[in-house]
Amino acid sequence: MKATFKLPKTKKGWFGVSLIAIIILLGGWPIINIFNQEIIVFGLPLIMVWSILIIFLTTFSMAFINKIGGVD
Amino acid sequence: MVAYIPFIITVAYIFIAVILGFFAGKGKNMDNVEEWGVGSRSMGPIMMYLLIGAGGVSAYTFMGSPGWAYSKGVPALYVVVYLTYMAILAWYFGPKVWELGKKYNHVTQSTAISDRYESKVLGGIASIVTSIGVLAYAVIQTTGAAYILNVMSYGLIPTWVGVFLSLGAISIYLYKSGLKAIGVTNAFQGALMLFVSFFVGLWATKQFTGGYSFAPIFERVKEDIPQFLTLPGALGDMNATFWTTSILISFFSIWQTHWIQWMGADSKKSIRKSATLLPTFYVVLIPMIVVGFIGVFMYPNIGTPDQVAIQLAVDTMPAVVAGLLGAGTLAAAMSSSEPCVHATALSYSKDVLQPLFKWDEETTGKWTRRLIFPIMAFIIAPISILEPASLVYILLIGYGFIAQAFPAIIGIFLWPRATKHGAFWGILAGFIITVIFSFVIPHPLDIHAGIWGLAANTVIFVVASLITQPVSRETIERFFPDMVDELYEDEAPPSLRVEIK
Repeated sequence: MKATFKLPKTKKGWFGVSLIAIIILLGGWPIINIFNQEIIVFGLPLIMVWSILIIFLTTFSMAFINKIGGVD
Repeated sequence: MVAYIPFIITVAYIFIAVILGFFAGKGKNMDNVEEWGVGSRSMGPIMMYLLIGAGGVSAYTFMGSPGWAYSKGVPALYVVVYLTYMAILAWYFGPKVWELGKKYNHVTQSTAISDRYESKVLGGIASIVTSIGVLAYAVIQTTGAAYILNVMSYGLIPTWVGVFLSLGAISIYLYKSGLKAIGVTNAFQGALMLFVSFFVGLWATKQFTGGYSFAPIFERVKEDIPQFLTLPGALGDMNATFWTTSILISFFSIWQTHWIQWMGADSKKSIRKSATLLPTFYVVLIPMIVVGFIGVFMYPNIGTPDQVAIQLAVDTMPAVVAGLLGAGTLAAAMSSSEPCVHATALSYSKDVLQPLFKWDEETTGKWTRRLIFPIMAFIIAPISILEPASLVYILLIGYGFIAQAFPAIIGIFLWPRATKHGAFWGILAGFIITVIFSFVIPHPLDIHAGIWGLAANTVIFVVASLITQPVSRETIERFFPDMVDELYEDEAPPSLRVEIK
């Protein structure tokens, strides 16, 4: 029996996986260092604005992948 | 009398939850595992959104987030990010878990593990060990519920009474209506939490600044205590590496409770829809975190940071608002503990007792919901009343272990070559490494102990799987029907093999 891993079969599937990987990268090191500064934006700390943005980016990404049929 | 209005509102919440939960399963046969355990898979996307959302926001996050903001500052936001990422797991795995469960009659994670790895022993072990973390979590929530009742009653309700009151309420509707009760009460609790969080956050902001903008609060933080605005925070204990690995270890944790909640959906589409919108629920934590920042200036010397939001509400807000915060926090505690009791009873019954005593489905069904009473009376209640200091350690081990099940779950959905030996030895190695790096050499290189455990687990899982016998072709055909040709293309088809023999 082969030791094959189940991978996306379509370009849309690979796009979906890549988009999710990027979203996860946005919330951690090293990207988080860019937003780890004593700056107030829209009345909130920069890292708080970034965390809220991650919430909506995650939802938007999942909705977009649903729409294009990119989840295998 | 006015002083007791917050307490009356908090207790009124319990009555409403009991009534809603009690009638949720009306007319259904709750001695049936499918009915009691997964509510006959009947929940739509809105119910699923509130069910999973409210289950994720516990008393620990509702009270702990302002507590962390008060003592550390922005590190509190890691909770928002990890809860958001956990929605991705629900979105990706939820529909797959639901489909598999419906097809092969799985209701728990351990049943799926038993079936995929052809080992009831592995399923039983997974059930018992993961339940340690789940029960420790239920104990913490119960302690939180008792604490709220104690504070709101000005000490009239001692901890032990609070424990029995909250568990007693849960037991009534959980026994009567199972997952349906959790669905209905969590929907109510989730909506209450959303309302209370924004209401209290804006109210506190108005009190502190005279307006509704958060800007003056953070301008003052920047001026007086700028270390609260960046990692590693005021206590200096959460740098970017620990922030990242703490988020990742939570992301990799698929709880038994989540698995069962996904099973309760009426379709794959409902899970995907609700999970897509799920991150938006966690905006609920932002106003509570702001309340923590306000507390830094209002209560510079509070003893227990987790009490800052409640203290602020009791001291400065009208009785009704304080009562709503009490009810909201109690909702957070109960909505997180009841799925733990439910999942443990279901898993012990299906994955441990049924194979052990060879019960038929009817006997298992009868015992499943009755198991909630011994679990609450002999495990959760006594430990909650004792409030042992070591509980946090138990929970840490529990979290560590739950994430260690991740490679085994990957083997269920994505890697056919995974074997029971790979899963077992991987989990064991991951567990041991997590324990050592939690307590003996805590978090080496500022990387979360669970991530070290997961790394060791993954290596051993892969190596041990590759050198041991794969599961039968019949099982592979059931779990990976679209990969069978590819996996066995170098081997003779079964019919030909029979002829050769």
